Amino acid sequence: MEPTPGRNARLIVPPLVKAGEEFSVRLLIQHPMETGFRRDVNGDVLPANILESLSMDFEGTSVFVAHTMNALTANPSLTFLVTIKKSGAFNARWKDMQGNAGSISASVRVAGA
Amino acid sequence: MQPLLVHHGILRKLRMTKIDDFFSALRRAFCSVLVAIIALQSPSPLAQTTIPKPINIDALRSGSSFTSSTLQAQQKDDDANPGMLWVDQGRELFARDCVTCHAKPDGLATRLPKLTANAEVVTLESQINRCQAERVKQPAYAMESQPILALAAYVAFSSRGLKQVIAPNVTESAPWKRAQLEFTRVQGRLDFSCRTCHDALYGKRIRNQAISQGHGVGFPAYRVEWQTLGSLNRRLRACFFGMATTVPAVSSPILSELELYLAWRAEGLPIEAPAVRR
Repeated sequence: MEPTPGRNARLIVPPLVKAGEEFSVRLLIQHPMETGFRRDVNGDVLPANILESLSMDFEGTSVFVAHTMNALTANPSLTFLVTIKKSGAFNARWKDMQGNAGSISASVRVAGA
Repeated sequence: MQPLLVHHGILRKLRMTKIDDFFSALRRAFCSVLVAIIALQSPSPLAQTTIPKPINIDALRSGSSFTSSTLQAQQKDDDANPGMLWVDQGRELFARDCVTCHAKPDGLATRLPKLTANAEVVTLESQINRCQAERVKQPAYAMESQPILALAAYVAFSSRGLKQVIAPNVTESAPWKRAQLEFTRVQGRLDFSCRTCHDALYGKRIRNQAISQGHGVGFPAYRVEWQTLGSLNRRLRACFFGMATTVPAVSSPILSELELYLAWRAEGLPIEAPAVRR
């Protein structure tokens, strides 16, 4: 299996929430976030590869956008707080400088909805 | 000149033989006296065949207990531990390639590294590559490549909480003896041996970093310095670099022998892979 940067990810949401109650959504992406300033053992420059766009929507509504740059760690973990009124799925989407794209989704159920 | 030299040589040989005989007799006498003294002093010197562990089992502490509370929290929380990204992929690979022989991965990592019948060390990574060659019939994975780290992480993760096991007679093997020598040998520009810090000074600080007991039970581990998951083999090479001595090659047998020695030292300590380290 050839590894694709950004292929492996985890989107962590609580399975059940109350309507209007704040909860955290956490996204963990496996990505080298190579700055383009480092060199390998042979002295060759490691080509830059940074996540360029990262966004998340909830049932078609954009809820989170991150402008990720080269100061961000490899394998970044991003957390944000959100409230929802009805059950649905979060969809995260990202793309890096080399064109590798990834996505992941997770559903949240609102109690009584 | 030729005959003289020969003559001289024979003479010397004769003399040597006599001296040799004398010394071997002396040695025999000395040895028997020594054995008698030992026998008098300790009631049963032969009963103590097991070599004592450098760190008593009650004093064993996992590597994470020496890290910061932030890293400890990150390691404990599977949703924050970046090593789990490799575990996720390893689970897929295991389901594809390994379930034919291993119904469950539970406990497989506790018995590794181990010794084969012909005294070769098999580490977690080399076991994966052995399976790859003999069962899966695929080329071996390169060390530190994504699939081998993923598989190793998943197998080690599946043994999490289970204790490290080692064969009782491992101390009689040549690899263990070589590794013990390497572990205790003072080397490098700083005049360190592994033992200097990890057997005697753990809990203290060096360059403001806590000295651990040097156990391998958290590996493969996510190291912040590496920004990726890495094997124990890679960590050991980093140790040699830190000691300012010659860093062995990736495939060097001494590295897997040291892994075996570390497992013997850590016997009884629970597996905590994938660990998060500084």
